[in-house]
Amino acid sequence: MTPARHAFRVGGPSLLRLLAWLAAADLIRYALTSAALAAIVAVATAVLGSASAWLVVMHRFPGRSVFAWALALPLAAPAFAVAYAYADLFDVAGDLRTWMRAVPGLNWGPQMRSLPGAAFVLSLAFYPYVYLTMRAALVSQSAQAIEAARSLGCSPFQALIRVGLPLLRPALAAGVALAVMETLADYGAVQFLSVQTLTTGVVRSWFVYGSLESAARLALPLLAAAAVLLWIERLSRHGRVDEAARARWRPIEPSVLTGGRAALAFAFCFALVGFGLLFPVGWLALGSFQITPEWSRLIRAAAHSLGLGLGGAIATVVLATCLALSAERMPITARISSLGYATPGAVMAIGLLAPASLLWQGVPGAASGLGAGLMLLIYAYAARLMAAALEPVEAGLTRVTPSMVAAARTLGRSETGAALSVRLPIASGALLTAVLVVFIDVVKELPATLILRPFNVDTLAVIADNYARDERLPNAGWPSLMIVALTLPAVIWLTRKITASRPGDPHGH
Amino acid sequence: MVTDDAIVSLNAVTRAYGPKVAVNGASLTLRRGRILGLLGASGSSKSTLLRLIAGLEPVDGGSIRIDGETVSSPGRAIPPEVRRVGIVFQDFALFPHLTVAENVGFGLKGRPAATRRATVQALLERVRLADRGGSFPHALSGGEQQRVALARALARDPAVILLDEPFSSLDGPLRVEVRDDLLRTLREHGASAIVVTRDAEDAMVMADDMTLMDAGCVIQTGTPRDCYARPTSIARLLGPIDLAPAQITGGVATSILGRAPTDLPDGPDWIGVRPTDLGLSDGDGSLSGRVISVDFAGPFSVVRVQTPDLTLAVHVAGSCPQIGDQVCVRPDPDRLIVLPLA
Repeated sequence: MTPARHAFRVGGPSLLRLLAWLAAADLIRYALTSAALAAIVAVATAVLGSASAWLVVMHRFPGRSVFAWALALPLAAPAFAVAYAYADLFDVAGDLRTWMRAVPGLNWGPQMRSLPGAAFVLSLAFYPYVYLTMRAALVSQSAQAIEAARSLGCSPFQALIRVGLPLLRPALAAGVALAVMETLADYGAVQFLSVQTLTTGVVRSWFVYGSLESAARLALPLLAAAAVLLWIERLSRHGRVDEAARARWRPIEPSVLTGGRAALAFAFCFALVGFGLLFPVGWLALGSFQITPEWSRLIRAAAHSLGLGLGGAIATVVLATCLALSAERMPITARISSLGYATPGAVMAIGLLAPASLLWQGVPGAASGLGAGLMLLIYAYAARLMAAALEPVEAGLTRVTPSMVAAARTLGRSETGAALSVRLPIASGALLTAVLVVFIDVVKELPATLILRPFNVDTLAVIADNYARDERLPNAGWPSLMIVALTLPAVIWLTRKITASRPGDPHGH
Repeated sequence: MVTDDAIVSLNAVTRAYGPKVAVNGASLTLRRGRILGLLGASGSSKSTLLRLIAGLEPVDGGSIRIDGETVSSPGRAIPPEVRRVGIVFQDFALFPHLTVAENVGFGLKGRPAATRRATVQALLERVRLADRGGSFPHALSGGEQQRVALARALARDPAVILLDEPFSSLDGPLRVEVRDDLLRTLREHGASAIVVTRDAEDAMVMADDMTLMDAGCVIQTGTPRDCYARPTSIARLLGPIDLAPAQITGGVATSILGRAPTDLPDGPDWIGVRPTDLGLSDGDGSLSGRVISVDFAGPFSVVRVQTPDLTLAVHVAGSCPQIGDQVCVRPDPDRLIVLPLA
């Protein structure tokens, strides 16, 4: 007997039971889809990110120095924009497929609106997380460990397998954990590609059906997964030996690729940047430039995105800085405040909206709703991105040795004075890095921003999503392109800074 | 021993981290215008003692007085910024975002700009870096960085300068040069200073007075000469000592090395002698033995002689016996040191 028939047979409030069963079935279906998507993206980003990092760090080939930072550029494009581009390109009624149908035997194209399609898009969007962590790990690895292995009788390949890879495993785990967190939190891309995940389920339950209970039920496994991923990511840092911090660090000599091998390496790296950023952005641009957008609406939305991005970034970094400065006094607080990182924006938004709406109902004159909504949203950003901001801020502050602080104290500064005159100025580069990291994420963020929907405050991400729901892709292209235009300079600046710094360089990142 | 001209005095200072007692009832006195060498092996909490004096950590017991004022006692801690203590840190701790001149002027905040400039310039001249004021610290050599750190610490005209292992990052001839330089600057300034080091030579060359520490306790104070000639423990902080078991009876300690008067009570103890105070001769005696090793060490050679009762290391300048030679070790009877058992 199926549970549904069982529910009918028992009678009583059978409709409720049926709904409960349907919800449970949905939960399992969504969870399985999310898990499958996460698994595929994990494997794909691990392979793409590690291979590209290994190529760029350990080899010399034409274009290597550009790819070193360009490989991270797909971070500038929101995943939903990549999804729009590929869905449009391979649309059955689209230009490409129409043209292909005219050629006998070519009537074939991938179905983007599917789980594999979504996995393809998200892997291209999120492989830079693995690339960046793996690149950092490879660069900071000292040649000495490998050389010691060689002197103990290992061949170069054996040295890589027995010494190199175990040293890189934590970095790989951290990068993949980040990519999977983003995959689970993604809303815009999977929603557009008609893949039902837990996150789309959460948003639908709340905004379409207004059911807090079912939203919460779907959010719980997401939170559990997020906690596990965060734990993995933290664990991989635990006991991390920073080879580069040691005086005897010496870079690994890259091997020179020539001829066909160099061409293959170039093609692989170019394909990643091309399929991850250039091609989808170019395709969207081609389609969008054929229509005249609603400029006033776009510009207003861009201003909102910029304002929220800056506001969210500055608020988050100010909080992160206060936390980092007081970390010696309260180490636990900083850790707890990082817990929000893996929480999908949608879950964060609903978790905040539910109590907030109670407050608004309770307090008459909730005309302050918009202001409160903005505060809430910035709070949501801060809670979600605290860890992303804390990491560079803490790293920057570690450049201030305890004796520098002690020196400032004995030279007449109070604790606050020492923080203002020594600790913050030395960490200022790291603070800017943190602001940009949060800014990029906020401008690309979609589901949390839906908090503001009741107030008709649209951001670029929100209007892109609205147009895309109406299948007005050229219209959705414009705000997507504007997001890239806002984030790309920040991403370029960041990746160039990160990849230009060498281990042991006191003035680097 | 609190004297009138004491600028810093510690009285039975104790500091513990949980169950671990880092500083255990340490007392010492720095007299005005003098340099105190604080010598101990690594892990003997010398640096902790400096942090306590600077007010960077509170004391759990005892008290610290600077220029007549009690600055630290349990429950009372004058913050470091008002203590008039200057520190030169082991890693120099120069501020990387400020120029050399800005580093030196850091502690002069609130004084008129002209005064500040003049003070900074005078100090940079004193440490022979007058032309480097606009450089950033990373462009300076290790020795120059240390001079900047010293000038920065002197700028506020502190009551006492604390130097934490000032030469640990320097080697060879540079170390001697920097040490002489530092000593000259401190003397010219008339500064009262405490120099923490684990190098016996540094301590003996620089210090007017010495305090030896072991495992958080002060084990000896005195002039370098006294401390070297009359060590009070077998910790060998000021260099190697050959030891032989001894017995005290009626104020005289007796051992195979010889006899020496002592104030210690009757019972077992040690008699020690510096390897430089041992001579070698041919022939027989109670300390005859066979040479088992000869290690060349530059100005002298270390000759190890195995006697029937003990192995003695002898520092020999000039010609040395060969391994296997039969020799007789002759201690200088006036240089025997009586040491308590533990």
